[in-house]
Amino acid sequence: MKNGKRFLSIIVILLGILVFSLLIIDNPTADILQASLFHWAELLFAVLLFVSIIHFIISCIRSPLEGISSSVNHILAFASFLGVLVLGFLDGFESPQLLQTVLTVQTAVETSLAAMVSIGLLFALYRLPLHRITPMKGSFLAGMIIFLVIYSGVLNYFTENTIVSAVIQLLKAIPLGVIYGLLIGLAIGGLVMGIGFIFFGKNPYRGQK
Amino acid sequence: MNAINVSAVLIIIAVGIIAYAAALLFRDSIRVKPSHGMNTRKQWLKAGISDSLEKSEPIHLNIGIQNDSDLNSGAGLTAMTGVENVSAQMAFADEPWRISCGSAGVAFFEKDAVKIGLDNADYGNDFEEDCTRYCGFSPVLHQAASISMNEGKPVALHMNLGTFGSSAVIQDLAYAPDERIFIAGDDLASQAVGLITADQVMIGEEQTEISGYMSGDSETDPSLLTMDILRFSVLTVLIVTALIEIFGKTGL
Repeated sequence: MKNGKRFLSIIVILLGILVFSLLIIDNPTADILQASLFHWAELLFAVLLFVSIIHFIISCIRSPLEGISSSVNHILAFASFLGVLVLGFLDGFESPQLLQTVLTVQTAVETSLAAMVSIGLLFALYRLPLHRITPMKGSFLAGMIIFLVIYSGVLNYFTENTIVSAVIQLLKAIPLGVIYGLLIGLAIGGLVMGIGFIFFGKNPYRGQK
Repeated sequence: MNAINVSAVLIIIAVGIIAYAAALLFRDSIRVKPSHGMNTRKQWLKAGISDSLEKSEPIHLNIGIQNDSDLNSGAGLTAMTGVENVSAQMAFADEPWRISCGSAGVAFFEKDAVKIGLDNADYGNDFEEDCTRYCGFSPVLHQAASISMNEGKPVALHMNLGTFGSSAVIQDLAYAPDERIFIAGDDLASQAVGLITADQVMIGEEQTEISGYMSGDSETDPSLLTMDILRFSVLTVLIVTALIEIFGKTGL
């Protein structure tokens, strides 16, 4: 069994190296092979998506029956699924009316959730200085206020002053530099993690018991 | 890709490998520099896991990979290693974890991560096929579905790994104040939201260091050492380049 797993691991690593090589080789045959591999991966994920949705619906049916969790959410989810399924088979899944109905309901639900996100953000900003302040969070809050002031246009009255103007230009350039730094950091982090797993057999769990 | 890009890619990978090998060889000599808040976050994470064990409340792992193509991103790998680590550490708990995923592919592969984690802790027989739950691909709907999954059941620690956007703020509204919220997102929006809503947030490349933080010997973990080597090297190069640029322009 261990030899079988090792053999499969070697196959997977070789496939990964092959895909990476195809990305950097400029050749029509390599492009066709690469497109075929990606198409196969897309089909695989489509199958996984189908299986996951079925699994989700089964858990929606099973959970309230077993008293595991609240019935309302699961009944709503199952009823929505059933409704779309029945209408789809009756009207056809390409029916403009069905698509419009689904889009209308989805838009309403997502809009209300987006509103909840906005309210949540405002409430969290209000609560932050009262209960949860740390140096990092305080700096973030201060930075947010500074940039709100800068981009409000209030400081346009002072741009004749060269020092103020230079300071404002510098402050406006800082976020872009920070974003570049974050992206470089994320790239380095991903590189180190990948190198650790692929070349040095890093085990995320170091045997702590 | 032209020849110059290929060379650059291979050089960067080679530098990374050399740095990692050096960290592995000299890990007993080099100590991990405590980058800002590292020790605090490590202690906080361990406290969250201890809390979960003491109160017999599970850890909720919320994996926010929205596109299946992101499975092979740094965030995807972080999520996998985080699940594997928590599965191993919480293997003997009564109700160890709940895992919600925003991608069908991730929900499928996370089962393997759980299995490996349980095997590492010698609890492989406790593996259950329905250990992960797919909660929808839209970021906001994913949060709503994962919240309904936890409805009425207390959770000790919510670990959010992956890509979330601003929807993570819904958790702050939904969960009780004593339920810890931890966000390790690779997108800028979730990091910003995490700063104002979460109890702990990983900024930038820190989210790839979670497995190092949660390992038994994080002070000599080669990946953390390599990150420190590369981090300080890049910072030095940037500062030197900036100084050269400034002094070059001023003619000094």
